[in-house]
Amino acid sequence: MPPAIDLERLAEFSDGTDEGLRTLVRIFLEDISQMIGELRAAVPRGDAAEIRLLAHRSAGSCGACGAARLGELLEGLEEAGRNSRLEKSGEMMTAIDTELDRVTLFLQTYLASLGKTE
Amino acid sequence: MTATGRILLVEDDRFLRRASEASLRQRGFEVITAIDGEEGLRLAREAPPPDVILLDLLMPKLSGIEVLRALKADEATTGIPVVILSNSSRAEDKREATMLGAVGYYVKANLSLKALAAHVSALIEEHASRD
Repeated sequence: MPPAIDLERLAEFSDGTDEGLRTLVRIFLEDISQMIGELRAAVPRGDAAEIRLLAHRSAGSCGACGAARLGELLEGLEEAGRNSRLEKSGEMMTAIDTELDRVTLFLQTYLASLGKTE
Repeated sequence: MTATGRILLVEDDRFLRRASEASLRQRGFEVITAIDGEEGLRLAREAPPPDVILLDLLMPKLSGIEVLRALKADEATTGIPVVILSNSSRAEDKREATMLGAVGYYVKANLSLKALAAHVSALIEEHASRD
């Protein structure tokens, strides 16, 4: 399985400074779990348009930060929302949560390796 | 180097909004943000006008394309450079935004905050040299 985060892509996205990279990772860790939490809450409601928008939003963040696998899973749910085919949305959400855990662990470890943040 | 200029960032993705805002502020830009197209259009029309608008495409209330059309149809905002930030790499989306007057189009999965800030600086300098 490929790494949860493509570090080359993450560095390319950042502003080129160590501090910028640390800030980026911190913001991503805070926001991606919140955004996916909103998506998790939306799935049982079955509102296809809402699920599409929330999944789209989260996928954009993942793409920017190099979380390719998580982004692909979110795009799958976005597509399901676009086509109003939500029969498997619960299973898709489970896979997203599993990958989110992997991404979070990877980035927490990476952040620690960058040294004391503040 | 410290940059100057007022940037309107219209982005419903909280992470990209915060990350872009932090990066631009660190370089000295003044940044105002909107979380949907409707708020973005309202802020674009307020004084003082932004020097550059960074605009997402898929957003609640008004899409980026609808916002772009409205900006270019309004004499007060038609001259403000608009740069698109989108998840879509489809050529037709880029073509449509360019035809409507966008001066830049970044796919988020390939976006570099450093390059974005440099592009914003160049647009502001270009705009200032015309005035």
